[in-house]
Amino acid sequence: MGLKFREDKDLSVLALASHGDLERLARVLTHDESDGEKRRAQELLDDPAFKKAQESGDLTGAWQSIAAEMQAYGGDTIVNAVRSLVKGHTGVVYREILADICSHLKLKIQPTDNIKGLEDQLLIELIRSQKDKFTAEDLTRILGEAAKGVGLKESLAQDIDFDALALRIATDARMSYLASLVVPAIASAALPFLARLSVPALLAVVAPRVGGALVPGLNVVAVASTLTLLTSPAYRVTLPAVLEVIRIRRVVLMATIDAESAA
Amino acid sequence: MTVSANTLFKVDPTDLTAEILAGFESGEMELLSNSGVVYKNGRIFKHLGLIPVDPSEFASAEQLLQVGQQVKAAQAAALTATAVSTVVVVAVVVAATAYLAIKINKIQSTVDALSEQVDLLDQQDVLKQVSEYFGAVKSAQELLNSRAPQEQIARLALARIDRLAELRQQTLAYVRGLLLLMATNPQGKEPYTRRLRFVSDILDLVPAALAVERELCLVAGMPELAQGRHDQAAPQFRSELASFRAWHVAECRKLALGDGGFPDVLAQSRKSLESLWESPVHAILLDGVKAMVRSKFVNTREHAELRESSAGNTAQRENDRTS
Repeated sequence: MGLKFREDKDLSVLALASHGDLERLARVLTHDESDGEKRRAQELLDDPAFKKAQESGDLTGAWQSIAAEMQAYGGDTIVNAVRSLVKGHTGVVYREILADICSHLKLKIQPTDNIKGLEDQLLIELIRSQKDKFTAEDLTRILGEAAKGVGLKESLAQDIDFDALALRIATDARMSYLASLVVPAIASAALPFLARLSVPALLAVVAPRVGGALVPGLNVVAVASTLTLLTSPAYRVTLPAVLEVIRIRRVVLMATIDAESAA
Repeated sequence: MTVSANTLFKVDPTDLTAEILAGFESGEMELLSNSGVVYKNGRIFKHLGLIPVDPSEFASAEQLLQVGQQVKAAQAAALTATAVSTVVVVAVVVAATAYLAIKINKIQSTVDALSEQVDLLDQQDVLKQVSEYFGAVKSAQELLNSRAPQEQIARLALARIDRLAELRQQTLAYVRGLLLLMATNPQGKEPYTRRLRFVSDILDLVPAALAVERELCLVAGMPELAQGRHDQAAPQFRSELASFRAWHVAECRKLALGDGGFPDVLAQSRKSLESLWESPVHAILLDGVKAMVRSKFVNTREHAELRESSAGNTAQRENDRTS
């Protein structure tokens, strides 16, 4: 029996994601990057639609299976631990997963119907939570590396501090996209498991600022941060998965902006 | 396509003088692809020789028409003559093979499916006109390929030109209305899918239909009308295509923001729509040799050399005349 996707408008963006982006998300959901092992609770790799898409080398036809796996990881940890025993279990919608993460982080999130607005708030709060470890120059450098990697260097004509970034994330699609690229690297200062979502060029900029936090095996609890609240097993899956969805949404939105200017 | 290369003819590239090439490029001259007649300022300027289409050129044109990809081998040494050849072969294949018929049959089945969902009489009438339009295109294509004497073809073509343009206008107006309806009232998944396919199929076919309309005007001995129709219809088509693209972008944006519907329909149509936006066939059919001159297919350096040589030839002719 395959995974059952629960109708979820906030995850429909995955229908427009590329094979590469879906592959990254599927990897987060199915493998523990600390040891490369398959996650015990995952069902995606056995899902018939996913297997078929994987064999064809194109995961775009399996976006619902991937979304369903993500929904199944959401919610209560104990439920997740035994979910493979409960056949036909359908998970929680993306918005709840996102709200759950924000609530555990004790983030001051303003309720809104706008899913991108909620995600932007999470990005802003994750960046702010690491404000004490990074100077404005560091932030500008990290954003500069990200912008260079995706051909948006002109978006960063001047230095940017944390407050200016927070403001621009909410109002500028390009900045929101760049933030989705740098947040895993910045937050990995407290949560090393997020480092796997970042490109090496960004980690190279981040590493000197966070000392040994990126060294595998280091006790992350030693890093004083509210983010350590997210070290429980379920969040080690849902947080990176949510950050991947956030990035994918911004990739798709940027593509619509490019298409608009081409039309 | 069922017609083989040896049943098709194209103009002899060796007859394409620099003056004619420059005339095509400037829009001063028009070519009736299937008879090789070149018109200048509304009058017959020259009859170019016809030679059989080479199988490799036919395959190249087929590939271009079917998958929208230019075959690199088509870039031969005499580059601009090759470019003209490609344009002519594409136009001949569109006008003389089953290419159009297959596409028209596909549209007809979509029209039938749409008709079942439409209960308003006026909408059904419009759909009948859409069917009539593509029926008229098909019949114009048959006329162009008939072996009847040229005068008879010209007389019949003359009688059809206006109706064809009228039906084209109505069809494009319906596409416009449908896009508006899809944006404001998407209804269910099934109607949404059918309408999307319908609009996409129609806009894919219109440039080929315009090429037939243009040839019809030329065969009727009205090259200025052919030019006038093209000048009016090509921008209109591009405007409709741009509206469709803008609609599609808006739908994808809504989906990305968690506010859209029919994710599977949009995802499945994405590849074919991207081919539609960037179709090199449309550029060739709408702009003929000008499209080739502007496009990446033509080596700009060699083209510049040819222009220089063309300018040189013209100067030489001027000298010969005055001396």
